[in-house]
Amino acid sequence: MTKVLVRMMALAAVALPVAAHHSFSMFDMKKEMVISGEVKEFQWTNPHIWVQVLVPGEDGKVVEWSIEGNSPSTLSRTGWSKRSVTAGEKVSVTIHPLRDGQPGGSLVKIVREDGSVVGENKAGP
Amino acid sequence: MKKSAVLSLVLCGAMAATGVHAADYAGPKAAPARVSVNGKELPNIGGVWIRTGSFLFDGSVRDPLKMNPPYKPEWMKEFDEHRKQVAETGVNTGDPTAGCLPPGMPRMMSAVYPMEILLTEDQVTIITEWMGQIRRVYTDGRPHPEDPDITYVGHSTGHWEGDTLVIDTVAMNGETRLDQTGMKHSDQIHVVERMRLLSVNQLENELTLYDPVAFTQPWTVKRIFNRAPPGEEMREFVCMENNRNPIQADGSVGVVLQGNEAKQP
Repeated sequence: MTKVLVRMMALAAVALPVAAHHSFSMFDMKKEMVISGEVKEFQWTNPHIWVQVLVPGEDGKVVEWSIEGNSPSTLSRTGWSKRSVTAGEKVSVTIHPLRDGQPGGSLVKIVREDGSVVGENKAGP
Repeated sequence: MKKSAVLSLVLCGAMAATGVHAADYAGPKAAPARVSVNGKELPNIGGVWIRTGSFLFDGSVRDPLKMNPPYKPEWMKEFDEHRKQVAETGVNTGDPTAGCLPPGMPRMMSAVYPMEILLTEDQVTIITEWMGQIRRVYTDGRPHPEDPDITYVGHSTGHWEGDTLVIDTVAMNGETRLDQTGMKHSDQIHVVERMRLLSVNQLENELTLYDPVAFTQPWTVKRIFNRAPPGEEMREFVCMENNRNPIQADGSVGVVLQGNEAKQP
């Protein structure tokens, strides 16, 4: 039952609306990847939110990823708040990676360790 | 003074400071269809409004390649080359707002995020959440200044024609764009807006752009806004708070990574 619920919640999560203050063309919007790690910092700020995630690499070295989300303006109206993500929690983050291969991406969705999805991800204004 | 009186004064102070009177708050009110300003009954264009339509200046168009501004040939050539390059490379350039400069007029009237309109005695005030821009539309009958400074929002005067607010705006910055696709205009642009309610919860703004430098003829577009739910609050938007997307030398938008110091470019 729980597994089914988790899967349904994952399906319910859709890409965040790109209602941004600038183009997101530095990211490869056709490519998706999932990174897993521990949240170092959640920057609930304008013009965009950022989630800093510490991701252990195959060589055991931890790399800090910078994940750019939408603005608090849009996200607060779609179920997010400054408490949506907490430093120290384990998350899996689906992103559109940076085109240049650096450890950064634009946010598609965040799934917590218990399978819950951050925010409602409804289309914003 | 009696002890109990002092105590109640202290309590009152504490209540005022913490907003405990919320118990008296009956909740947000639905917007009335008309309001009284200066003893005159006006259609209630006041309130918080949410844009419908696309992110492009003409909200009925979704594909930048299908946008058809009445540009003079040399302006059209430049715009064509720019939008084709963006479509081919997928890399957008030439949007000053990416560097946190404000959208200005007329782009701010098609901006994402809500705008709030306030009706007061001699002025209609329009506040856009995006970049926190403010337009003051003087409705006291004054003319534009003879030699106005050029600003991002320009200088606006307004008057009511029946239930339509007609706004005339001049002296706008020529370095702003009409939208994210890089459509330019000159600082000779003159904007006339006709703003009216379609219903109590729907606002229409018809914008006509006159730009004798860039256009062969005036360009009119309509934008429709829906009234935000009762009680909706405007948010602060300070773009320089944490802008990690600098404009790079080629005009594209970059990303400032954090951590992994050795890996930074």
